[in-house]
Amino acid sequence: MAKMKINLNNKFYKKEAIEKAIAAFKEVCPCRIINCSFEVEINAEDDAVADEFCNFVLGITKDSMLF
Amino acid sequence: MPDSGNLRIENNQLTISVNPKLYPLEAVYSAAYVFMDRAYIVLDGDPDKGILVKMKLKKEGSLETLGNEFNNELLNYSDYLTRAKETKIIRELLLQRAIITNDSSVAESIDFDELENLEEEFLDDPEGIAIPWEEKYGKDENKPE
Repeated sequence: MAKMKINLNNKFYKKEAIEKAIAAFKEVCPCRIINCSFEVEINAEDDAVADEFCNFVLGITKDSMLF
Repeated sequence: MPDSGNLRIENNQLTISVNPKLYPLEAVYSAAYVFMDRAYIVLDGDPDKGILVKMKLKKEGSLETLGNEFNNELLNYSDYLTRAKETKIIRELLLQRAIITNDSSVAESIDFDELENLEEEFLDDPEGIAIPWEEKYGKDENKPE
C-alpha cells in the first residue's frame, strides 16, 4: 500500500467530520490526521480512494450544517 | 492552460475562485454537494478573502462545462438562501399556526400581535375578493353539525 497525504483546510473542514470519515474508511484503508491543519495520511493503492475520502468529508461537513 | 473568468484549468484540475462577499459559504458547500457524484472536490483558500473550489472529474468530460455549471448552481443556492432568510419569520409562523391546532401549549408561546400584523399586511384586498364564504353565500343551515 502506498502512503498518500491530503490537505484539508481547517477553515472549511471540521475535525469531527474527518474523524467520522477515518472511521468509515478504516476497513478500506488506514488513515490518520497528522497535524492540526488537517493533513491526513492515507494508506491506499488507488489515488481515487484519497479523492473519495475528500468527498466523504465534504459530505459529512455539509450534512452537519443546518441552514 | 485555459483561464476564463473565475475558472482555471491546470493538470486536469479545475480551480474555481469564489468571492465570499458575493456568495455565502453555505452556498459554496451546497453547490459543491450537488457535484459530488460527478467530481472530486476539495475546498481551499480563505472563507473571508477568497474561496477556492478544486474539482477533478470522475469520468471523461469537460472541466469548463463543469465549472460553468458550478457557477450557475452557486447562484441558485445564493438566491435560495437569501429568500430563505427573507421568509424565515413567515415560515415559522405558518408552522406554529399548523401546530397550534393540535397542541394548546404552543399557543402560549405565539406572538399573536405579529400574526395580526401579518394578516393585515397580506390580506390587503383592493379588489374586494377576499370575502368569507359564509358572508358571501350565507350559512348552510342544512349542513350537519
